[in-house]
Amino acid sequence: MPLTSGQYQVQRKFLSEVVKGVSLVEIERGIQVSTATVNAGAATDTAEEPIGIPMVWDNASTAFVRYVDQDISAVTGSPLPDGSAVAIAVGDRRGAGFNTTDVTLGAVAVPLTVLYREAQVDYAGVAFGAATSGDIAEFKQAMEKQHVVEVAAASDVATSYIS
Amino acid sequence: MTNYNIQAMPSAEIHKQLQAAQGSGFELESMGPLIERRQVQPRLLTALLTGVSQTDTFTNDTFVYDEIEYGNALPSGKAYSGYGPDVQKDKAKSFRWAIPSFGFYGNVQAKDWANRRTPGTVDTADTEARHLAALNEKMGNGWDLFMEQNLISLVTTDQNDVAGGPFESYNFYSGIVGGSRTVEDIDFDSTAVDPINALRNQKKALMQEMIRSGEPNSNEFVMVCGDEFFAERLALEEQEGLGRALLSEFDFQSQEVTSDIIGSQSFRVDNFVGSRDGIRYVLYSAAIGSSTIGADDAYLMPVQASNFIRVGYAPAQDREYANTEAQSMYGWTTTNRTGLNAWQESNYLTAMVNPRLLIKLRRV
Repeated sequence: MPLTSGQYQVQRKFLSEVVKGVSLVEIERGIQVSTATVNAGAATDTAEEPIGIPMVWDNASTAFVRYVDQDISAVTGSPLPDGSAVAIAVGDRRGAGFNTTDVTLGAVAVPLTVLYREAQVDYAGVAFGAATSGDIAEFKQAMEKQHVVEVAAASDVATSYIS
Repeated sequence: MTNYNIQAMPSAEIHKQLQAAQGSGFELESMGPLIERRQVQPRLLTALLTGVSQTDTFTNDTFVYDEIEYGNALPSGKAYSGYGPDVQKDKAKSFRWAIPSFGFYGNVQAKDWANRRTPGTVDTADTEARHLAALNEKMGNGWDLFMEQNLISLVTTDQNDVAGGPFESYNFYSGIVGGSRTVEDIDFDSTAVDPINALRNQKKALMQEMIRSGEPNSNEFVMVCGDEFFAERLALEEQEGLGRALLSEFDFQSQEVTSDIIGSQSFRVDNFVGSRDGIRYVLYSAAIGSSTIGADDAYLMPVQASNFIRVGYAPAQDREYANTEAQSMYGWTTTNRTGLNAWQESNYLTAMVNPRLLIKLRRV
C-alpha cells in the first residue's frame, strides 16, 4: 500500500474518555439502563468515530443526527424508552466501547450504541464540532435532565525548565 | 592452514517483530522502538523548601499553631531602696488556617483495552494494569507539579493556591505581619549605590531574621531569581576578575556558569555564589503553565528552614480515615464488571508560617 509522506494514525478514542460511569442498577443487577442501540444518520455522508458524538433525535429523518444547534425542547418522537431527545454515541452497532473503524452517518441510517440516561460523562471526550458554547450548554442541560451528570476534566498544563 | 569459523548468514535476517501492513493483511511490516515524550517536572522550590521536617500531620482540617514574639527589657537606674521597672510578659498568638482539599479521579473501562495492542508492541494485548499504571503515574506527576505550583504562588504572592476550590486563599504576610510586603529594589546599573552592597544588606537582614526565628542552620539560604535578575547579577560577577589577577573562584567571563541538579529530573539549574556578597543565586526559569518567578524578581529565602514554609496535612473525611492522623495522600479504587475507578485525594495547606523569612527583590 503506498504511503504518503509522514502518514500516521492516532490511537482511537477510548470509551473511558467519555463514559466515567453508568447506572448502578446496570452495574449491580445487570439490567441495561444507560445505553441503547438506535439508528443514526446525517443529511450528507459523514465519517465519524463512533465514540463521543453528541446526538439529537430528528423525527423527520427518523434517526439520531449530530447535534449542532437544534432546538432540543421541540424534539418529539424519540424511540428511546423514556423518550429522551439527546444522547451521546459510545460505540458502533456491536456495543459500548467498540470503535474499530469510523462509521459513515448518511441518508441510510446505521445502528449506533448511545448513552442517554443515569450515567457520568466527561465532555472533554465529546466532539461538539461547530456547536457554540450556548448550544453546548443547552445539550448538557438536556443530558442532566436525563440524569447524565457531567464530570469535569482535569486541566492540562504545559511545563518547561526554560520559560 | 588457518580455519576460519565462518557462519552462514541468512539472506534476510529478520530482527524485528512483523505485523500485517495497513490496509493489506498479506503484506508484512516491521516495527521500530516506541518513542515516548514526557512533560518536564519543575521541582526546584519543592526541593528547597519542603521536606519531612517541614511537614505537619493533623487529625482534623485546621492548621493551628502558636507564635510568641519575645521582646527585650532593659533595667533602669534606681535608688538602693527601689525595685526597678516591671518586666512585661510576652503573649502568644494562635493562628488557625483551614486546610483545603484537592483531588482528581480516573477510570479505566474494559473496553479501553479489549481488542487492543499495547503501544510499542506488535502483538502484546493491552491490559488494565498498564492503563491503571499510566493513570497513577499521571496523577503522581500532577501532585508533584501542584506542590511546586503552590510554592510558586506562596513565594511570589504570599498566598496559597486553592486551585479553584471553595477554600479561602490566605495572604500570610498581611495575616501574620500586617500590611503588604515591601519589595526591595536593586539597581544593577546604579553608580551611586553599589548593588552588591545593597544585596549584602538584604542578606544581613535575612540572617538577622533567621536568628530571631531560631533557625539552627542560619547560613543556608539562596536567592531564587527570575531570568533578568539572574542575568544582571551574573553580568556583574563576570566583571570581578577583569583587569587584574582573578581572585574569585570562577571566571564567568570565559567559563560556563556553574549548574547543579536541584530537585528536577536531570535538568541542571544555573547557580553561582556571589564572590563579594556570599549569596547563592539560583536561576528559576521553569514554568508550570503561567506559574513562574517574574523575570525581574528575586526571592532571598532560607533553605529547608523548619519554620518558614510548612505543609500541613488533614485526613480524608470518610469512615476509615476521619479523625486519624493525616496521610499525605489518599487513594481509593473500586472495581465493577465493566471497569475500575480510581480516586486520589490530598488535603494540605502550604502555609508560610513565618513570612519575615522571605525577602522579595526586584531589578529596576
